[in-house]
Amino acid sequence: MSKTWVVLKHEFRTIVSKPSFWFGIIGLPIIIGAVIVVISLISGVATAAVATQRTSQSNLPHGFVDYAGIVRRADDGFERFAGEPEAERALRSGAIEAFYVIPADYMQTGQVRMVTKELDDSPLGPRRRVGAFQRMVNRNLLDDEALWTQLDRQVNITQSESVATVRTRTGPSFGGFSPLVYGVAVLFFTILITASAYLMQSVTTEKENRVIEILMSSVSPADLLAGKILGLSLVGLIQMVLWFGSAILALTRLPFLSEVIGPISPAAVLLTALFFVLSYFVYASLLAGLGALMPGSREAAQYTFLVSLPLFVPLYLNTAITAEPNGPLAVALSLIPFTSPLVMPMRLFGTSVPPLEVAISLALLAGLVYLAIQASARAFRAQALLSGSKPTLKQVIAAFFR
Amino acid sequence: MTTMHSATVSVSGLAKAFGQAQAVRDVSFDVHRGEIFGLLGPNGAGKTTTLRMILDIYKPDRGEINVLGGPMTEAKKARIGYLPEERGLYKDLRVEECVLYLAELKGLSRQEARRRADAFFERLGLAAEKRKKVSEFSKGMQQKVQIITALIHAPEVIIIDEPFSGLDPVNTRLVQDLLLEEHRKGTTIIMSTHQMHQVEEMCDRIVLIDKGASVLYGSVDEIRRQYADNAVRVTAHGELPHIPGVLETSRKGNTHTLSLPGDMDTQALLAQLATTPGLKIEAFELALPTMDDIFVRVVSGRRT
Repeated sequence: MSKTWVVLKHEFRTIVSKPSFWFGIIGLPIIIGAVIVVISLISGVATAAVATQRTSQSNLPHGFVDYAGIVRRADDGFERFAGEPEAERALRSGAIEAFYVIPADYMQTGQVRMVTKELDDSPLGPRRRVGAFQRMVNRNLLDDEALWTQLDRQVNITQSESVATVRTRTGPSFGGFSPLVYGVAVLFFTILITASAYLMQSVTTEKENRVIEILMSSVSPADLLAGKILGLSLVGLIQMVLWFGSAILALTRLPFLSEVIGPISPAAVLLTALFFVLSYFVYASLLAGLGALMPGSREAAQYTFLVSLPLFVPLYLNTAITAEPNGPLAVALSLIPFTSPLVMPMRLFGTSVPPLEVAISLALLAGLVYLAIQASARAFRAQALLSGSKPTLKQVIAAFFR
Repeated sequence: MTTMHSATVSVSGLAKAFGQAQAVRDVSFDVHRGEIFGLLGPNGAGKTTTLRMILDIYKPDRGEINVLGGPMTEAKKARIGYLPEERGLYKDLRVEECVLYLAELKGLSRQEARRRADAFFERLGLAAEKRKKVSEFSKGMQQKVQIITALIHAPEVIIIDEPFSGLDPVNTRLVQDLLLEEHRKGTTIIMSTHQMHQVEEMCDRIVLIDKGASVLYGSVDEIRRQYADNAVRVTAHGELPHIPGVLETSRKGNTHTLSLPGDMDTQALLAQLATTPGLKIEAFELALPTMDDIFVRVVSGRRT
């Protein structure tokens, strides 16, 4: 254990002492923030005139017309109107910023119409409060046990109208989209891949620098692998805490963002951290094993994509997952251990997930952790570490599974 | 090749194959406490594989290894210093950090490692540059650092593979001096090398490995005597007289090599030369073959 501890300290110290690490860990959030500001500026939200108007508008309540009779108690910031003409008058007079029409067949269709003065899809426009409206609807639905089954239905606005023009747009559903869910997925993916790549680089660097044989004479491959995995998992956790921490800080300091994103469940944060640690062990172990088999980082990089391929699937299917976070696709991907590290946190931040599914997902992922470490330990052996030749794909597979 | 109780390292019937390639098939030897032991052999003979098995980096397929009184353990690794032939350092790390890490892996506390490292840096003229990155060091300076990493934990056994490979004469002397100093302290040294004059100068005993098997084993002096032809080397001023019975005479400067028949008495020959008028003898010795000659003779003999 003591040698594992020495390796752990060395790996941690080596990474955190690099300016490039801190540039990445601090610089990236700054760059992302800057990009958001720029996008906002480009979309016209931040121009001075509109900003003034927006500031005054942002304080305006939203209205709703409830033909379905769902909303018995309106939340703060929402005003009930008996019919659409009254709501439209209020909108034109500037008393409200927008209003929603809940049709009588909402329970069957889940569709709601949103009416605004002008078409405005920017995240800082009237749509920023769709999440709050959805929560009000859900909260009212919760009063009836029979409506539990409707809990996960998302407000599905398929049509936008403007009273200023006659333009109407229909398009793909965005009812389930949450910037938070997508943000979680991207952050998680980036941290996981970065931390795992650090580990593979650490192994290949020792091979390329030809220091590995000196290490082998002092520490067993198992202790070396354990020290590396644990040391670099700490690095990943720090990265995660800083990135997610700054995101949460931004949400608490920037109310308009919290309106767009909605509340964050502490349980979701904790479970996400747990998923991160477990999934890190999976990918880091596999990449470390890969690094052990390859003569250098260039050769290892050719195989990295294969190992990390499952993580791209949730990003590619993001729209489908966020549209139906409790649909068959999202549930399946959140249970499969290779994709669950991304999909389960997406679901946790986007909807309520049955505890049993979370438990099954964690159990399967823990099982994969065990198998990945076993496979990596098989590959992480002196003969492979001291070899200077590039193995074939068949040999790589054999090294992991023999 | 019996195992002696005083053996610091004992290897018996060692064999190791990698796939179809039999790297080591039958190697046995003992290394006595406090001696400098040479592991000799042509390229690909199995020397490095044997060293790696002694260090428990590779597990032997067959045979027995005892190190410091028993099988190798993780704890014993801290009592051994190793400098492999393919040696390197962390290029992006500061020199000091690199040495401290490798010393900590050998069981030193960070404070003790720093204290010892500073002493080595001072002695080898690296103190002013210890905070530089390894990549900023010249090859010679890096070699000094590598030697430090092998010695910093004051090992009882030093295993060093091709210690003089790629070194210039200055660094060769430096490494040689450091190893001889360790030898004087009582440290056991096992070195694998191709440089036979270093073997003659430094080693007490050797084993010669060829095609994965030990083919020659013993003290350097004994082996040279064993392989000596019946000849004497005479360094003298003046002309050598004609000596009846001498088979062949060759001369290089003032040194004459006389090949003798097996029954010729060398003491009588010395007496005859000593009484030859006008001949001043400076040296009279058995004409022992060099280790280089023996190496070539043994290995070539096995090839034919």
